[in-house]
Amino acid sequence: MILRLENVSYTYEAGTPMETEALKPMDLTVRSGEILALIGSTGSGKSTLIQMMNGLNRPATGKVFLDDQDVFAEKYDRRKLRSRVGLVFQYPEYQLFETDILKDISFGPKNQGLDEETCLARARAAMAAVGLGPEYETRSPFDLSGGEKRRAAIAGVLAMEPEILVVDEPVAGLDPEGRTELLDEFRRLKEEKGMGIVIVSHSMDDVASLADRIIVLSRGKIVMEGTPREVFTRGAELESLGLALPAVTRILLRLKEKGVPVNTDALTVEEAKAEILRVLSPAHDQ
Amino acid sequence: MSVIRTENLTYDFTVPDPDGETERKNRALQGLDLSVEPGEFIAILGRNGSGKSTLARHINALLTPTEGTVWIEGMDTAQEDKLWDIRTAAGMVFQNPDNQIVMTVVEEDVGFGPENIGVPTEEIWQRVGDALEKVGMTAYAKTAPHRLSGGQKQRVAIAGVLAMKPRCIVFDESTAMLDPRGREEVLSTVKELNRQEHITVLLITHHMEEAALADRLLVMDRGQLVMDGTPREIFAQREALRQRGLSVPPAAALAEELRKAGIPLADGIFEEEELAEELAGLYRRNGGLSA
Repeated sequence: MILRLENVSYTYEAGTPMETEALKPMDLTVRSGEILALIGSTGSGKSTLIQMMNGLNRPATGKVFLDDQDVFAEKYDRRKLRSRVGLVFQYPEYQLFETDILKDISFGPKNQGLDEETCLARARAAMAAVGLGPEYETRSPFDLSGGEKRRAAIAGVLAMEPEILVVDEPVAGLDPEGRTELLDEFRRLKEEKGMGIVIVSHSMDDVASLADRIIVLSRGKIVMEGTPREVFTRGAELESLGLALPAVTRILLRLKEKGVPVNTDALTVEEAKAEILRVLSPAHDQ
Repeated sequence: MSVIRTENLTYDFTVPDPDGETERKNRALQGLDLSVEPGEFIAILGRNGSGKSTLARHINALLTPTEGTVWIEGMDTAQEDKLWDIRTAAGMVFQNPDNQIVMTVVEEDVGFGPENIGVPTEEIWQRVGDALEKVGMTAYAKTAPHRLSGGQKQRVAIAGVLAMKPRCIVFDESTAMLDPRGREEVLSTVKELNRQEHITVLLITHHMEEAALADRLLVMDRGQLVMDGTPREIFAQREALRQRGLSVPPAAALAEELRKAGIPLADGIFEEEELAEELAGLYRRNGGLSA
């Protein structure tokens, strides 16, 4: 499946003195089986952009195509679109509303017209995927901690088995273990189900280890696009945009400044370890 | 006198059973004993649901104990007549910057708290001016909050707390929704308030790099306080932390991996600069410069 945004732009309060152009015309494609990260400072247009992906925001100019069908065409079934392109909002409490977790999570599949049994099976599978055990089924979504609410909101979208999953800051407020588990789950959904995943994140460390491709937004424009290795070699530019480098990349840069001849393009702890060993070991053996 | 002291602090949430008629109790805090001295900078770590936020809500009397006692500057939080004194002494900054701002102009928002407790008008403006200066937001006094970035909104929220002249501020995941620059802005503000104004800080966070800024770390698990020590002591215990759903800062993780691979690094490294310096030292001593 291919989701294609063509020349899309977005304007808030169009036609009023408050008119602001939140997104300048841009092209963007999301494919099945890839993880695309959107990074950018607050107000750069990330949230506006992802709400266009599932038809919530109608672009001022341009078109959104899902498998070459214009999703804003008059006869297009946008309700169906929302189960094919599942969106998890930044503040999960805004999308929880049922009396218990199991009902809340089966709401999506029920809305898709699936039978009770299938709905429950999907809801339970989605709960397991986000690390919510059966003991959560009868709990009220409103008694949960922030991190648990976030998991429940993600499960609610996963239960619809979307082909593209769009998540806004999915790990904010999760503990390190929950964070690692959820990121692993995204990798699994990509590898095993061929799901396309769009992740909005302020965590450069997570983006570096997870994404196949990164798009950097600034003031409603795409200012960089590439693999994590390509994007994270442009540290000074990222900093000027209010962003940062992954921690291990920063450590290698410090090392280089101190005269140690390391390559500074490692993105994960494993890569940084290999690079440091490469530089230190021959001397170390003497 | 301790700023915060708890003795056997225990708290039960009441949850309705699925049948909707009976209730059961969920223990969120279990016999917590804690003393926090003036000027401390403490980070509180713990997995989701470990009781961190429940503890935070006891510090400004949003919750009162089921059993045990909490004193803020000697005032028992169960005494209702002390409520406003307690909330003035111990302020709180939450996660979502958009839920904490109530007025349409920054300076009015910052003055909202003092006005509510009846501070004379002239003094309110004095306090608002001081508070905005301390968080570096003086230039935005007349701005509409919705025009600010996330980090700026959080700094306004902090100024609102500062205008109450608190001795202690609890930050409950106040940086979780911020971009890297916003996070940096808020953290340097927090550090400055602690170092310059001697405000006691309790920072609840899931970011181990943020926790590394504190002088003391508290680790909670299942409603209990399970570890208490300096960042160096706590971050040297990677396995114990892992078992509690936590991790160590990236510099500590990398240092440990290198140690396992035979690089002779000292125990307890958790800062990026420290690790780079140690490694550069090894490189020089091993004749790396001539290699």
